[in-house]
Amino acid sequence: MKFEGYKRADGRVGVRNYIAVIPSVFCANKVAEKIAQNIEGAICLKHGVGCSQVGEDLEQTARTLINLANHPNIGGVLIVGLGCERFTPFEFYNEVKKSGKPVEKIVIQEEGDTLQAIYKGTILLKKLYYKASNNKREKFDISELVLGLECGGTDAFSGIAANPSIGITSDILISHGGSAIFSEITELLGAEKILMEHCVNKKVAELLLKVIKKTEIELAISISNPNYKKRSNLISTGNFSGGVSTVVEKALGNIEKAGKSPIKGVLKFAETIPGKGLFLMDTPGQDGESTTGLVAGGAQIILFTTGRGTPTGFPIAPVVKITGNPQTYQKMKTNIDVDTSKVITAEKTLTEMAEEIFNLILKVASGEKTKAELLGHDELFIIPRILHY
Amino acid sequence: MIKILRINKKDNVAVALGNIKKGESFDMEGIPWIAKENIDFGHKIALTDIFKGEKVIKYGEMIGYAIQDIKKGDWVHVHNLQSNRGRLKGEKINTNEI
Repeated sequence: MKFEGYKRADGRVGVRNYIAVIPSVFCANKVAEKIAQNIEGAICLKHGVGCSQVGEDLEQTARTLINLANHPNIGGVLIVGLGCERFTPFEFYNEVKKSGKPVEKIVIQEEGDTLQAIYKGTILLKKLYYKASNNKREKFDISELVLGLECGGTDAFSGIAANPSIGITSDILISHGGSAIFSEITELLGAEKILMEHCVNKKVAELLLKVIKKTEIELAISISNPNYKKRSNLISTGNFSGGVSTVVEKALGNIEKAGKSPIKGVLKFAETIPGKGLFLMDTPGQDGESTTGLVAGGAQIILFTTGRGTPTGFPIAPVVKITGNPQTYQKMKTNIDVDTSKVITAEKTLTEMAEEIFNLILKVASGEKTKAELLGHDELFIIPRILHY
Repeated sequence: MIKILRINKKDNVAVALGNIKKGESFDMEGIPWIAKENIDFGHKIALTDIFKGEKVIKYGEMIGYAIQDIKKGDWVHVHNLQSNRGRLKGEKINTNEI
């Protein structure tokens, strides 16, 4: 089975052909944004990090920015630095250059001021734009696809209809040689036993258990502080209203989206997927941070299930919204791509829904826009921090 | 008549496939049942009596335990079901924001 994508210098295949302006530190955000506004279709990946970070916190920021810049959905990158950040624009530039992707950089403190940086940056971005516009879609095997499996605004039907549907979709893609990544460790508490049975070997199973335990201890300690008692629930108000009562109930519904494929490894946040098949990524449970990790890890398309209904999208990757709740679909038809609720009333089977989603993925991979893309949603790009105070 | 869905045959709770009003009858796995309280769409109903301290099973797995006696047909949610996962021992769930 084939889709039409863009071949990149590092061998990967993109489903979009964006040119991106990426600040190496938040201080360069406005300059980066104004440069992007000057060239039609350019995307600015504004973020809130990069200043005075140390240790794993800084490494994670650097890894996320480098892996996003090298993402196959991007055809050219302009890096905008301030000049005094620790993750330097020079290191950033070299890491992108190595991958063979067209890349340029400007540093505000070298250019002089905002206006001069915008002027020079716009000229460089125009160059990148012409280069990227020569890229043409070609046919590729679907084994080149990596899906990011995400859920947000979980309700009781996420675990019954939407998540099991995309779990089967993911299994279909993997059976054709493709890949998928699932994440959100905070939403795996209580589902360890099932997940460990899915792991390819004991080593992966032990690593999986370790990341879940680490997260559980951190959660337990932080919410046990009497100062935070007022808002100490592990799942959200919307989850409760949607009929989900405990963190374990949420987890058992959540893991349905990982399907039945063997779990081949556990990745660090934003780490590049090392091979084909299913992988777990160590990310927090928040939609934005988790999706950012999945895309940075190499997912070209995000399958995002939602019960309560969320309109969000990601700036450089199509997000396919799938619900299992018929009321949510009726309310949010302009946001949600697939309604799997017919599974609940037994009018459709999970396999039929999975095939429908799979066919949609092939279209989206070849250029068809998702509803989140059509409405310009791009809120999911958030780089998390690792803070130990 | 509104139906309920048992996901796994081991489950002692099922999911309401519509809003069930107090006094309304609904189909409890083939048997007509009168609701003692409102049970919203997507929420859980006890399929058996579940005594305080006993496991509540959904998806064939334990999702928590009963913190009070639950009667067959009762609404099962945070007022009578709790999990200890992600919490230090002996802690109670905060229901203020629900």
